[in-house]
Amino acid sequence: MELKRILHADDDPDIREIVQMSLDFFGDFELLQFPDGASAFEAFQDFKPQLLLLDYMMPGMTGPELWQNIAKVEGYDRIPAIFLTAKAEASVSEVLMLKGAAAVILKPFTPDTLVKEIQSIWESWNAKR
Amino acid sequence: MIWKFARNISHSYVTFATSVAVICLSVGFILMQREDASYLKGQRIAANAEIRQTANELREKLFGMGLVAERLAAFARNNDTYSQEAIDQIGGQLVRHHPEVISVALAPDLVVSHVTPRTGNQKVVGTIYWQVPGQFVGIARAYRDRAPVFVGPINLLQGGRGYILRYPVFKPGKYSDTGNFWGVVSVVLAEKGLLPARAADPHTGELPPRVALREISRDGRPRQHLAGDPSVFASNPVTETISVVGGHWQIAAVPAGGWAAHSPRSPWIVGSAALISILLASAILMIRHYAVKSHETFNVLSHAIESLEEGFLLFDRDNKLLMANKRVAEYYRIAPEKLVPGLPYDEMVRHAIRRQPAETVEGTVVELPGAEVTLNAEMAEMAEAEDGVQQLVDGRWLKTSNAVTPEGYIVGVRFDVSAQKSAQLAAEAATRQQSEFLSTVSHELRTPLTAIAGRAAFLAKAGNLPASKQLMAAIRKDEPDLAEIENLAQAQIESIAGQGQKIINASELLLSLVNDLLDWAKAEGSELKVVPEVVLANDIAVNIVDEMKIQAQAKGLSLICMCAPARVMADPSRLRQVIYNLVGNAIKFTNKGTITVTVRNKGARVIIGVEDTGVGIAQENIDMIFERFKQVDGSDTRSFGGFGLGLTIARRIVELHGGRLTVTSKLGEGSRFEFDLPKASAAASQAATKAAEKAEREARTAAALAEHEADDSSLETART
Repeated sequence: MELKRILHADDDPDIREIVQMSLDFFGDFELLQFPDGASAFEAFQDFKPQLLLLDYMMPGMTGPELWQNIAKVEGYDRIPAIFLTAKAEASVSEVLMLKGAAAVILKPFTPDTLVKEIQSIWESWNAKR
Repeated sequence: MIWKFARNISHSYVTFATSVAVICLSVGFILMQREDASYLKGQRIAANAEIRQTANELREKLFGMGLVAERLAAFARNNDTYSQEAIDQIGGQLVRHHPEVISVALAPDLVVSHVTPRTGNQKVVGTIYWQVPGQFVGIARAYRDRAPVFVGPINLLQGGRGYILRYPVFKPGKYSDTGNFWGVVSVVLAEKGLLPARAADPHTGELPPRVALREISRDGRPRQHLAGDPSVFASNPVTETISVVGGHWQIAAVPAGGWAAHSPRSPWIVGSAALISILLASAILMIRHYAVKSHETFNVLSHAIESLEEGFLLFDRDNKLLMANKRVAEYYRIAPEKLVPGLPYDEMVRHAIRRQPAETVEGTVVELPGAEVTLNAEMAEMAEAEDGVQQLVDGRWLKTSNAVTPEGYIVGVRFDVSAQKSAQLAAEAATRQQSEFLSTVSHELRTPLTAIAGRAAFLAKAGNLPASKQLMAAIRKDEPDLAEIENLAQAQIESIAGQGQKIINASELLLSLVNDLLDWAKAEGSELKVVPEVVLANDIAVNIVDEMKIQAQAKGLSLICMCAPARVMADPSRLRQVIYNLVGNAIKFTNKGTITVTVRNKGARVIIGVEDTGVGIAQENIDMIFERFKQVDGSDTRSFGGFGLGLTIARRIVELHGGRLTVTSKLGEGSRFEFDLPKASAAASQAATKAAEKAEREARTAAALAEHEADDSSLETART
């Protein structure tokens, strides 16, 4: 299955812009961005995302909370979630992976390889299913 | 010896021991007196028995003598002639039965005519009594009394000494002028035959009592001494009176050695009593001595244990208290009067221990709360004499060290390790905080770095950007449209400039973070220095408000300054840093409303405040905000970036100026940060003004010189 619709949530406008530029310039995706978890959760069902690209730490609803909430909705229980985080502790990545995250990408990331990384994660995620 | 023991014993015990000795001696004395009385009584009984036996023998002997005399008298009265054979027959029986009877004689008309036995007594025959005065006295008395008379001891005609029973014989019809006195019958008894000597007791070797005999009158007065030592009668003798041959005899006896003052056993009794007294007194004093010694040893031990800085406990096999010091009472919150032997351990610590490590899992201490678990663990620990740590309800930590004595008792020591424990907990907290800080630093640095690296990456590959590709395509057209190219170039330039500006912004954020870190490091190491000078606080505040107005307006906030002119002694760059930090925080934590910066004079101080209508701070978090690495919201939902060092640094800077940074806040309504600085004195202000004027003059001079040099230089150029 081809990856088309990506939901991105990050409270930092710089990161949102860089992610948007990366995906626009180096890929061909439909990207919907949100500055916080609550607005993302409100709108995701209309957008029908195939993959979640989430900041770990956000005001209000955190990235992992947003993912958990989306996964509870029927049809989204197996949606892959990639976390973009500036938290460098190994424990954060370990916990997320244990909970079933598709991948954890540490900030700062390289914009031109972000698309390749996302594609690769998407493919291996689907291969496992 | 006793007094050696008595030296450390109280007077009362010495008195007690002495009393016991005296009582014991008194009992001994009483026993001795009783023994003496009993012994004396025994002596008297023995003497009585002796004189009774003697009396019986005398009675029997004299009765025999009297009987024979009576028979011979009857024979004389009834016959006129007297055959020797008849006399031998009558007297012979007596002599045979009583060998001490020397002779029996008939003396009609007081001339001895017959004697029996004849052997040894022949020369007596023919003795005319009135010619022998020594013999006649008794005969005269018998005649006078007309009754038998017993006399002696006297010298006998046959030799030796002896006693003689004179039995007067009266024969009717004859000798009417002498009252029919016929003559006398005499029975002679050997001197030693009256009271024969007794042998010593074959069993005891005891000599027989001394016995004496005397004749007494009817009224009891002594008449004549008959036998034995006359002194016996003067020696409080045992006496018995017998009536024999018409007279009364008194027999007296005293023990051979006289009446004993004491029983032979009395010295033993007294000696034993004395010995027992000494032994008892010694025993009492010794027991007391060792009791005192033991008590002293116990006291020394108790005092030593009391002096310990640590808690000391001693329990028996049933976990009941034997000994504990006051420190234990303090640790376990027990009234000292309740800390008594017999107190069960569980009762003692039930309300005192909050928790202690109950078990360890791979070296990790698992602390279990709850009295039951704690108690069980503690009991098990006590039983196994293990060491551990326990926390008291008052928060203190005790290190417990227990051991089992050879008697099976449990001895425990409790050390207050609160200080070490606090240090340990503080160190752990510091390590944790440091770790959190590093995590925060990493997070906060990575965010602007992501922006910088990301945007730089686009710029590095600018040729691949769609806008670049469009521009290149427009240029490469066969008939390039210059207007289109210019538009596309303009858009590309703006895009690149925008990215550059955003890189600059991110770099500035990064730089401010690094500066914060450096300032904090200096503040921590006391290297943060301020160089105070006279500055206009209101100028600095106004400048900052102007600078940050755009940032505030971007969030829809109004930022105003209500600043009165105020000269303060402050390091201008540091003062600016503090106000900048406070205003920055206010913008960061305020979503709507107004931020007001105030500068006002108050006596010798200038008060600078920053007030916002932001999220505010909960009362319980007020103290936390000045702590290093702390943001009130430390969770993953934290809304605001930054290290949380700004306020720590700001407070330090204010303190270096001799002021104090405080905060008042209400959650949801806003906060007010306020600090005070010393107002610059008039002299300092004047000096500062002069210095400023001088600096201005020097600047003007320098500018004039420079201008002059420039003119010269242009002239030179013109000349060449």
